[in-house]
Amino acid sequence: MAGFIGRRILWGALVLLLVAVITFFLSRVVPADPAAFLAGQNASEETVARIRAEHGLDQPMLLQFRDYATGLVQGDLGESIRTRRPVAQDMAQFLPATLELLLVSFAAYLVLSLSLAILAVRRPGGAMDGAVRLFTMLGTGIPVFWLGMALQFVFYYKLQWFPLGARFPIREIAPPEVTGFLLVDCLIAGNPGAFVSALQYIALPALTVVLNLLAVGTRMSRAALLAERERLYVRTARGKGLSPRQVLFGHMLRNALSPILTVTTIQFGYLLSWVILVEVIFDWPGIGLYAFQSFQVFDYSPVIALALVSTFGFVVLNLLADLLYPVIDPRVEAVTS
Amino acid sequence: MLEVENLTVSFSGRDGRAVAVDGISFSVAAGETFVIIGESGSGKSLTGMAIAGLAPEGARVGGAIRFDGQDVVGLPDARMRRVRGRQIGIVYQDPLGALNPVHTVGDQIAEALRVHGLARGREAMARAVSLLERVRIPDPARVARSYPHQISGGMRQRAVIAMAVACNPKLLIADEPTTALDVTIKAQVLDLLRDLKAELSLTTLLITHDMGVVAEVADRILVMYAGTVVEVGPAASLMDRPAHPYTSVLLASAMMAEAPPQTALTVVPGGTPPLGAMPEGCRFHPRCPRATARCRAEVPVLRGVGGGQAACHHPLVETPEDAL
Amino acid sequence: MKLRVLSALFPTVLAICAAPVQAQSTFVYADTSEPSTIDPAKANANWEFTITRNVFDRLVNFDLDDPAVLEPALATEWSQDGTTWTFKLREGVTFHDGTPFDSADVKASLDRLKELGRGQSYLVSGISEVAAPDPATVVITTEAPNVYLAGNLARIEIASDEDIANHDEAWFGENANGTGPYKFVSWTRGTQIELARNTEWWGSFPEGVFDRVLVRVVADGQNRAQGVEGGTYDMANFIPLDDAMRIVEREGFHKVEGNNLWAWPAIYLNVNLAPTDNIDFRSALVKAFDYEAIKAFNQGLGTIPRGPVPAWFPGSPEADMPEIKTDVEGAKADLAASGLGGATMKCVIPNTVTEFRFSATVLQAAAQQIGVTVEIEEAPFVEAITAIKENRSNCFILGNANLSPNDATKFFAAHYLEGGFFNAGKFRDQELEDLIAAMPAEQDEAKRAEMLAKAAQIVVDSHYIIWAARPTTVVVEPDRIGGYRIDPAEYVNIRFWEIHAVE
Repeated sequence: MAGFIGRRILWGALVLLLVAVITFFLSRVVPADPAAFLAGQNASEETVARIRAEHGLDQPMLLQFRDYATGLVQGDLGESIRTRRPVAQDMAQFLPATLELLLVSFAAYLVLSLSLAILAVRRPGGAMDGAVRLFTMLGTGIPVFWLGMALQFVFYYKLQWFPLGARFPIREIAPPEVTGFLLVDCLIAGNPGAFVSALQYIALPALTVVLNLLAVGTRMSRAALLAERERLYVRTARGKGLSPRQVLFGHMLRNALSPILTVTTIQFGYLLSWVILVEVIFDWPGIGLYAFQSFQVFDYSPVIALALVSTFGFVVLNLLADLLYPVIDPRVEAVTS
Repeated sequence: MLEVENLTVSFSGRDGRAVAVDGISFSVAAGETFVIIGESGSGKSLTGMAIAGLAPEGARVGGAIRFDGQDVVGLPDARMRRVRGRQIGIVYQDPLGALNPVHTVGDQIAEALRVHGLARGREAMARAVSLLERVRIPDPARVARSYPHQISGGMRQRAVIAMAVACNPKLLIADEPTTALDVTIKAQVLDLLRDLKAELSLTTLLITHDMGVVAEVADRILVMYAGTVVEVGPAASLMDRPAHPYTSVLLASAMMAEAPPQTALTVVPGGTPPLGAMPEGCRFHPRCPRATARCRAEVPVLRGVGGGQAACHHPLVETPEDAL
Repeated sequence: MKLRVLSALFPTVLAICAAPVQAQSTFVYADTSEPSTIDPAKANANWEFTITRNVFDRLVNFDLDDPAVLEPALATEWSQDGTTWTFKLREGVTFHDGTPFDSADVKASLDRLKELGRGQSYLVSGISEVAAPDPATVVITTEAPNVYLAGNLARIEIASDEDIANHDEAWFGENANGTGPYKFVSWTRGTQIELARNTEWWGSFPEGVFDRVLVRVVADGQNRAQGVEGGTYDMANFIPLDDAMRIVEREGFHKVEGNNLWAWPAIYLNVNLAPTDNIDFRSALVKAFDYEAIKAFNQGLGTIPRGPVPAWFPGSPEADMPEIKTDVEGAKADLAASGLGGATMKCVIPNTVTEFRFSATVLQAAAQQIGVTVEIEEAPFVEAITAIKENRSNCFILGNANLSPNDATKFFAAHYLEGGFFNAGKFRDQELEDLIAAMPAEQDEAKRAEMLAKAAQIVVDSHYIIWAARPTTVVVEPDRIGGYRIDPAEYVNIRFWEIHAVE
């Protein structure tokens, strides 16, 4: 078990290193010069050259990489040219907002895809099954970018049901930052009103992320549940006098969880990328928006950091999933030992 | 105690309605061991499941099944659930499949007690352990904590039996309980069923394709072929002097003791006709050595033959009318 | 039925749950980007000026309605005597942290700006020495007589000498202690910067001025538009024209119009790479270009530039210059004269701006009419400007904007003189170099105007630039708010101290 985890961590480190190398050189291949942006209009060549030197951009690429890699090993993600702060500090600042969106979306995804699958599987081929399929297909068919804007248009602009472009009502005082997770901070502050507000602000971005993933998620959960329905233990459970609901929640769900977990792990990768996109659409102040805005001015350290952080997240998630399989299904313990 | 009257189980398919159990009737008296025997596809398992209210989705059940005087056909599931598991216990063919792989054996037995409100929490688990003991599982506490894949096939079937009898049911439906087991285990399980029957004064409905099993336990036997009853009667007379050609072939195959059960039935040339393409007249006639033109045209009805009843135009035993 | 009740109930429930604890008198401004820095010596983008211009004061301000007029700010009087400028400072002014303002602050701020050489330092590049003979007097010596110095100082913010002595650059990057009308309160990275009105300010506020200002970072133009329209934001920096025109038609909104850029877009032609090295060829392109197409693209708002200097600029020759109009026949004649008929040229343009892309297509179509092929390639800004500088591209597109209210020389230096970073096509004209160098020393305003006219004409005659349009800036102001004025020499600006609520 420990050996397994050790091996996986080693693998994860290797993957991270590879990502660092690839993204670094990719970022240097694009002949972009953030210095010119910093210099601004009416700047002289001289000013631009000085800024370039300040950020070490005039050094040979390999030398730049050496410096970057040395820093990376020491946990230094470099400095953002745009915010003029250490990237690690920026990441620490923006990560909670991203994680909050990610976790809320993920939870919503799990709940929605499972509930819809359960609704659909009650009568396969029935009207509800069809409705669920249509609804989820619509969500997937629409590109995230457009979906986000459409949701904004309808629910903010037309209906005014949901607010826009922040994590909290702008004119109100947000609860003091303790965890950086606004929802949690609202609860810590003992302010349920603020919690509801924060929930409203996160609703549309999260929904945008989730709707896109729902079709695949629901279809896979539905298929997994449908497969379980055919299994003999279901008949046994019914034979004991369990109601269909008891059979579903007490027996089928846990069995279906393994394939669902596999799909979910893959979906999580998409989730991560959609969260980043949605941050840009909704001005959600997370690491995605941070990296995007940096990218626009060719400030690449944040972009590399984003790649590293999301890769790290993915590695951790996969490890978690592998550790979770035997918990869900006692038959697979052999894999990890 | 159990009366089945004109039971039909049918499925609607693309080519119309396929009738898998076609109007069978029988009754089981309290305390007896009633065996339904037939090849796979004969509708015997469907009959058993229909009685338990577990006919597969899409199946339409017709006729009447009176359990303790109450017709359970068309009974709302919520009411049937109080009967199932509580009054009727069921043992299944494939104990590995029948057990939920992600729950411990003990949990699954205890659940049967919990769902009927007979025990709760730790007490349910303690009773599960004693039930395991009752079905003669050594080290029952350990087995209760085990997952199905961690114990042997015989133990699994005993666990399934323990689950079936957990609530002291009146009727035990055992659907091919020994098919998946090897010979020695099979004998042990049959012994167990017989003992439990005595201990718990169970009425047993045993469903099997294996005449060898029948001989050991049956009080009365019903032979099914292609969804119909071909012969029914007391075990002794039926096995001694079968009236229907099909029954005699089944018996002959059982005589070849060494032959594994699967090959035994190949003695009867051909197989059960598919649901959608039932032959006219006697459904057995294409495989019957005694078939005549009458058999091809006219459906035989059950009538008294020998010690029981058979549906055959040319029975192997004289009918009471013939004797006259 | 259920759904109808629900949908009717839903907003109500939301409203109850989130009943706003609206702080009185808060103004929310949606800006385009987050500042990289709020250091007055480094700030160089309009979204950074949003903070620095309001938190800090300058020695002088200029009248937005007439940039030729300088108004007293931290300085009450000023005079030039050759290379020496003397400023008399306002007394009784204090910084937000309570420390008094005096000449040492001015000296320290200007010295720091020059030393760092960043941000707007190009505006004060001619200063050789700053002296503070007494607390209320600053004497600035310039390398050469510079009549524009006071005007350029209208862009230079003054920080405290104690802060400069006690804090490092990083502190200045995210803290601000000025004398200005608004105090810096907090900066929530990625979200907003909060300002609070400085009730001790020396200047006067209008009735209904806002006590609290929140500058939000809203990168997406659509979001800013929807936010202003929906009332989430009071005003926004740059709303896309289509949205702006739509919103101002709505009840409760009006438009503030003004001319704030010199020319946008401007197509630079590489004078060192064939075929654009040929002046007749360039002239043909200038004549062939379809200016009306760009005007239509801008919904008819704006004017067609006649040269580099807009009409509002003090001493502008624009009104007396001939119009530049599409003249396909003239273009064909020029092309024939160049002997480059059927030539092919390459345009590497920045890929971020719609107007750039559109004007490149217009150029392509115009050139095709006279038989010249234009190949367009889009690239990131830096790649595009590098391509033309390394002679891999015949043209480049950018705005042609000055950021000084009355000094054209800095703008000419950056765009049309040798060594200017934005002189992408490497244009060089000795007469122009001499004119621009001499202009600041000329005391006579009329003569300066004459020089400016000449300089403008040189650039026009060189056919180095195609000025596609000088668009009108449209700012959306809700009827409940007043006081916004467009800064003609800034992309977009906002003076929070002039903004107020309207009953």
